[in-house]
Amino acid sequence: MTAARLPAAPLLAALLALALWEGLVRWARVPAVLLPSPGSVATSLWEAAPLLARHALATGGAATGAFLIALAAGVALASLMVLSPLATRLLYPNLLLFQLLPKVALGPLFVVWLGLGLPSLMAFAVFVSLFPVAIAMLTGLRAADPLQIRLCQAQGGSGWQIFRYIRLPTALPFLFAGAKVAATMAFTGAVVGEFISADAGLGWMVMQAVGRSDTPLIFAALAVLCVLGAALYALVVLAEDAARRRWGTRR
Amino acid sequence: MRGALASLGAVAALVALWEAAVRFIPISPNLLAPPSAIAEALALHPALLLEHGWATAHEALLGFLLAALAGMALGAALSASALLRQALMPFVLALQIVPKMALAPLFVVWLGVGAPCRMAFAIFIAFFPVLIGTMAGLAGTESGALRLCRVLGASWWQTLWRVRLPYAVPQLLAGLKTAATMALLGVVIGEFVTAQQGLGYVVMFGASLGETALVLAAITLLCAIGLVLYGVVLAAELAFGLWYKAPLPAGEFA
Amino acid sequence: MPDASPLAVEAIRFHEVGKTFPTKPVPLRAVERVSFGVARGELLAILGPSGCGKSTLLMMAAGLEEPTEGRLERGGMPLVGPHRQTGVMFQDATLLPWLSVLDNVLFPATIRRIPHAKVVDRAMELLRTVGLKGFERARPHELSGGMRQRAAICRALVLDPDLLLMDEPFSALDAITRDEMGDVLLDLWQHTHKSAIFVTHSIREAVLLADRVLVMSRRPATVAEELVVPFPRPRDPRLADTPEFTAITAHLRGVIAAGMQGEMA
Ligand SMILES: Nc1ncnc2c1ncn2[C@@H]1O[C@H](COP(=O)(O)OP(=O)(O)O)[C@@H](O)[C@H]1O
Ligand SMILES: [Mg+2]
Repeated sequence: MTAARLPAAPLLAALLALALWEGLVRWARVPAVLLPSPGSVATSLWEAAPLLARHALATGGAATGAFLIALAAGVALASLMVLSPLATRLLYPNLLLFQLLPKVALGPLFVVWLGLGLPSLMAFAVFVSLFPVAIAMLTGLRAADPLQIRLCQAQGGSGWQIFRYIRLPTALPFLFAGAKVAATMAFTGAVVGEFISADAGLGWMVMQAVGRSDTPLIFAALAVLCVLGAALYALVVLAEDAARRRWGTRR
Repeated sequence: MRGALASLGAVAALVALWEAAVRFIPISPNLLAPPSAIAEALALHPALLLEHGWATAHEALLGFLLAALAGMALGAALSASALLRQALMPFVLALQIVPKMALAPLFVVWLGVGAPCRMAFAIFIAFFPVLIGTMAGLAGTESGALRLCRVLGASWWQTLWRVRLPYAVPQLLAGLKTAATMALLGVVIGEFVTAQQGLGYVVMFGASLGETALVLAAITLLCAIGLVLYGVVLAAELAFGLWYKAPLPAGEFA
Repeated sequence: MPDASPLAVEAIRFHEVGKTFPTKPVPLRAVERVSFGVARGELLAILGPSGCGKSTLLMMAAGLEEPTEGRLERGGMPLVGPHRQTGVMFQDATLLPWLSVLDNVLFPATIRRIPHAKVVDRAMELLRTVGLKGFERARPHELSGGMRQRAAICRALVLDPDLLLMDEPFSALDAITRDEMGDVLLDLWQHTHKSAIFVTHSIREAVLLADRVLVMSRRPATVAEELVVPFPRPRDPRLADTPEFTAITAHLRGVIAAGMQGEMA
């Protein structure tokens, strides 16, 4: 079926790239410090597996938790802004302002505020992933067809019914688009937070490995990280598919 | 215009609230420095902030320009060649879903802790929005306009230059706006991991000393640099709008 | 007036032209070996149910689609690809939003690298004829749908083609604008006398404008009926209110309805 055919080409391309990489490293004798061969990365993965797993759990947990919080908070914020004009006036300009800030650069502040550890890491990850969700959701809620809203009003629909039956279904595809960005941003936030200061997590591990010039371990840790990030992204895509089947949303 | 004024008002209110809160509620200045303290820090360390600010600004600007050029060139090449698309798109898409900013340490390994590392990383980060914007724009030409070109026997170049490119610009500009932010972020994260110079370094250094006012001053400068970079794209958009003289179709939400 | 002498070369001729699209899982037969020609100066209208293959016929005439069987002749020569002397119009005007109305009308000259100075007088004259005088500097988004379609007519005619192909050029317009556009085209026609193929859904439009009407069957398209419109030119739009006119439209309506019934039976 098509499902079987679909990943075949990219998979083949990836395998080809790996083979090319291995061949290049061997043939040109690239020092492992610069570019370890896929083989040595695999060895590193295997040897450091327990350590990697522990730190992956820390980073993955923080990022996933932050993602879920950002999702809930973003949806709540956007809904509030649609339901209450006052909230819109108070929040919207600030939302736009924050959109222009280089948010990831604010990481060290969270350490100042919340100290080292999980709370500051997660707060930072929530902070960077909240905005894509809030803005996408707001755009979606506002994209509802005004004629449909009029129609609903004409039949005596309440504000809540309009929200539930017209705005929410329209917003769903936008929300998923925002959630995909947020999934990547949550991991970005968690890892950058660990770069800045941490005592655990894949980001911290990578920085330790950089200090020791242990390039195979850097690659191994980053590979784990990429897989984790892609997995969260894939979960969002799966949820989107399920939602589309369940509610038949467009796009 | 009125929207801009309202936004400005909201920002002013936020700043005033902030100052008032810090004065009336006993918060340690190490936790949250008031705006007045930030201004003081800016005035107190002009040489330091200027030196590191300049390093960040020029690396970000150069990184942005190079990323824009590379992104547009590869985007045009990819939309021209199906073979190239088939070969490279899987990698582009894969990189789209991994947290790219986490790959900064690799650039340290390859390029050391100097400016080349930060700029290369900034280019790497800022390149993708431009690439995607260029491709989406070039793919988004109205089908009727392409048919018109075929009817008139327009050459591939004529079609590209006279029709597809103008249709592509709004999406391209949306990509460039994202890229402007990304280039600055790339440099700052590069400064976090190399810890040599730049405002990112000042932020991290200040935070470790508990100098919150200095941290916020550096962040204020970062915002200013970000706005300037964004302004470069905005100016390009304005110039394009003067030529286009019609409502621009909205670029993709990025 | 159509040139009826047998020696005159036709503007375009379909010889046993058929078209099958290689769709999956089953190929789609759109046009079934049709043969017809358009004399010089003749306006041929094509009527037929939606999806029967009219656009496909026109795309082949424009050189944008190749027939899978048969061949086309344009001015006595085999047709290969888009022809310089053919003007084309579609359902939507597709004016380029960043060009003024005049520059849009001159766009064919731009592409063919003909200096604008050579054709600008003609463009202005065309714009005046269709009632767009004073809008030369306007942008498409400032025009109504009907005005945009008028600009598109001018664009199709600016290089003085000898064959004009129109695919439902007015069907995106409202009924009143649509009749108005028919009148504009009729008026333009009496002045220029080009050969033309005009695909439409409107029987009134077809009979009022054309010298000859082809009614196509359901897909795959074949010629179900051919009718020579007996009214002399110049024609007046009020012709449509006469009993003779109504008799012809009623007959055509009957042919089309019969074709549909045959399909259902
Ligand atoms: N490029 C194409 N590929 C496949 N099928 C096509 C293509 N163009 C048209 N068709 C099909 O051919 C049939 C005739 O289409 P068309 O000529 O557009 O009909 P009409 O203009 O009479 O409404 C339709 O069923 C349409 O779906
Ligand atoms: Mg059609």
